[in-house]
Amino acid sequence: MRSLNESTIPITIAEEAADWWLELQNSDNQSLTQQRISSWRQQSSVHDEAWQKIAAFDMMLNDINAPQRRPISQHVLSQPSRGPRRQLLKSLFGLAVIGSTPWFIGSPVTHQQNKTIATKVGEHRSWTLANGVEVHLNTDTIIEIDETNTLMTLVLKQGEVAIITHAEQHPQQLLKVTTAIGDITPIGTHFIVRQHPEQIQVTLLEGQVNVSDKHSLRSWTLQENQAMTLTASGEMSMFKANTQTLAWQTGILIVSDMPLNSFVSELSRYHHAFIRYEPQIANLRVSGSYPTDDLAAVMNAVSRALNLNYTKRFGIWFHLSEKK
Amino acid sequence: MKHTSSQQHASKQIEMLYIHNQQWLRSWLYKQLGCNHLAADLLHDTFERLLKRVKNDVIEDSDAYLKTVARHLLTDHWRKKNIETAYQQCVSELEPDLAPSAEEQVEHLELLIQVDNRLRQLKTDVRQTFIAVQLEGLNYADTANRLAISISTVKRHLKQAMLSCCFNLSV
Repeated sequence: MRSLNESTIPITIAEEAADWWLELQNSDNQSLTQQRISSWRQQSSVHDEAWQKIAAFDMMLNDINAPQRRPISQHVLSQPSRGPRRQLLKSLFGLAVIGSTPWFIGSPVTHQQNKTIATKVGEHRSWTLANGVEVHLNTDTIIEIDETNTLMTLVLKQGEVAIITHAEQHPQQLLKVTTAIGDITPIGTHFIVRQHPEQIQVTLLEGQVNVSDKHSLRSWTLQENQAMTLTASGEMSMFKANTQTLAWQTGILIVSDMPLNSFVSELSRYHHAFIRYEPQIANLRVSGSYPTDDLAAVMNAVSRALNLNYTKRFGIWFHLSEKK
Repeated sequence: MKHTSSQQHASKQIEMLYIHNQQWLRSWLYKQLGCNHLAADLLHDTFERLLKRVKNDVIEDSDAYLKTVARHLLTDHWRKKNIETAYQQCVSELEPDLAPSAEEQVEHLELLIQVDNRLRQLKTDVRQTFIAVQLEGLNYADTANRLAISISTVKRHLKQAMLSCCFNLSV
């Protein structure tokens, strides 16, 4: 949805202006080319306006290419999204250069790109890729991005990702999410894919997705607010989507009536910690919203709610037990 | 500013849209952003954008339409954040006496956001070519080599990029 040009320049004139710009860039005789451009501009006010638009953008480029700015500009503009483990170009002012391959700048041989993005335990991050696709990674997630001109494949190696696509932005490039168990093809949507050890869960919030089983080649179409699980052995079940699934994007884990053992499993995804509990309390029910980044607070809240004790050792070892 | 009666009618329509929808849209934005202030800002921007459109476009009274507008603003917001973060990363790596002044940072950042907005709309390969030549200063031959394309394709990409960035034309 771009805003309309107030005065639209006819394509032929725009193209001529662009051609002149190119010629000026490569000209051995700048003043002669400038003269010719000047004559061209005088043909009409539209010609003149077209050149002014070119000149304005050209000036912006010159501004960001000023000597002090150039290395920063290069770095910032050549990566459409942040990468987790990146070395910066320290080529400013003659300091040592630490090589880095910015995203989506072609590597020497091939058009295809193979990039990995990941989050640490307890981390969640968001990226907008060059084609406008938004990816939001939950804790402990690894995604590999494979891209050609016609297809972008996101391989979910582990963890959980929410994806928002804008099909209208780059209709010539399809998007596909693949996991070990099945593939998900979206159409202008907002959806979440989670990789469990033996199954995947796809939750569709908006739009439409197609889920296909890698092994049996069956496929299903999810409608809005539907979710499904698919196991490695091909068992599928569909159910109503639970919007609490998305709460992690704001750092919150929302649960309703969840057994403590499952709750501890979920919580453990976000922390490098050992949470243990006595067997007889494993089935106590937990409900509520809990921050994913403050384990002590959660332990406090849960033990108060369920009338439990908790002990903490060495900063990472929690033990929940019945109050005696 | 002269208000024709049709403009007034449309403004009223937007006002009704706001009253009926602001609650769910604000909490949807909050879910995306995790911050109340930002959610309120973007909610405001969403309806401002609708007000600007009144003249030419049809405004649908539908959740999906509102979300689409809001989502574009969200995308803009995140892209801007990405740029700011990348910029800060660079600055933080510099020796203190080489770091740019506060005014310089603001100015440079603003320029980067503007240029990035235009570069965004380019197809990936066109964008790559343009950045290689215009930002990295590669000549056509080196660019062609690196991206495994011909020199005439390099020129074609540069022209396409200028048409898109300067005139909003996608050829």
